[in-house]
Amino acid sequence: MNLGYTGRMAEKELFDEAIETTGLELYLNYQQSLKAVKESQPWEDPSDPDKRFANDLHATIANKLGFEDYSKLKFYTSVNSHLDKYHGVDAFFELELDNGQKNRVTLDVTLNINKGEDWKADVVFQWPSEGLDPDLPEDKKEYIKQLEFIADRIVKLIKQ
Amino acid sequence: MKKGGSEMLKNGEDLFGGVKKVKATSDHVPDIEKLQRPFEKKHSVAYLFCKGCGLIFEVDQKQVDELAKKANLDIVPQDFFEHYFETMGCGTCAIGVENVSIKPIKK
Repeated sequence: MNLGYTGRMAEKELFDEAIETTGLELYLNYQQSLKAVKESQPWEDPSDPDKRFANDLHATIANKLGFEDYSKLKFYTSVNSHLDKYHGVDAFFELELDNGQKNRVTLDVTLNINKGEDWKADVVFQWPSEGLDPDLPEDKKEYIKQLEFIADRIVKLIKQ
Repeated sequence: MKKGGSEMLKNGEDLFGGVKKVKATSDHVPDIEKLQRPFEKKHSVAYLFCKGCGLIFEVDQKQVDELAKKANLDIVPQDFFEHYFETMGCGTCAIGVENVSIKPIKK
């Protein structure tokens, strides 16, 4: 039975559990939320994320941008963070330009893009509610299609 | 019905991973200029600086009252234009807010 249990709800429960422990739901503004996320990454190198999808997306974008040096492009997850809870961002990419400036593109994944949320991220994409396993032959094509579609949207924005 | 594979990706955490706790070093000092900026959230009335991780949170009146209790304060400032809360830990770098005190914003 489908109870409409979405990824967003699961994330909210995790965050709320943390709040229950602290007793206080403290608000972090956007800039402080970005700072917190950068200091709370689950892996050391933001240009080589451990998670398969994040890594595949990073590589796809870097290839589309024609990079040999992947370190210019950085990926940060913000799932279960203040940036996720208050600012609607699940992850973001940052591209360091030659002049030292950084271009950022934020992402939000949803299981139902038509649910009428006030989307705040630059790129919002829908993920199949039943999930995708890139190792299953029947899912591989859709997985690559998703990667290409999302990467194209990010590349378009991050180059500006 | 789809069979569960070895790496079924279903939600944001599966795709991107989840954040971990910010590492607390307890030697941070606040940027006074940031403690004087207008609040981003509508009902915020004060700032809370975590010395553990250096983050600056916004707190509303209800949270001010709770923090004042944690700090064992008898008198709470009328407003927080010249004061802020300081803690040694917060939910982002520790289990929760610890060692709450009120500090003047030294200009």
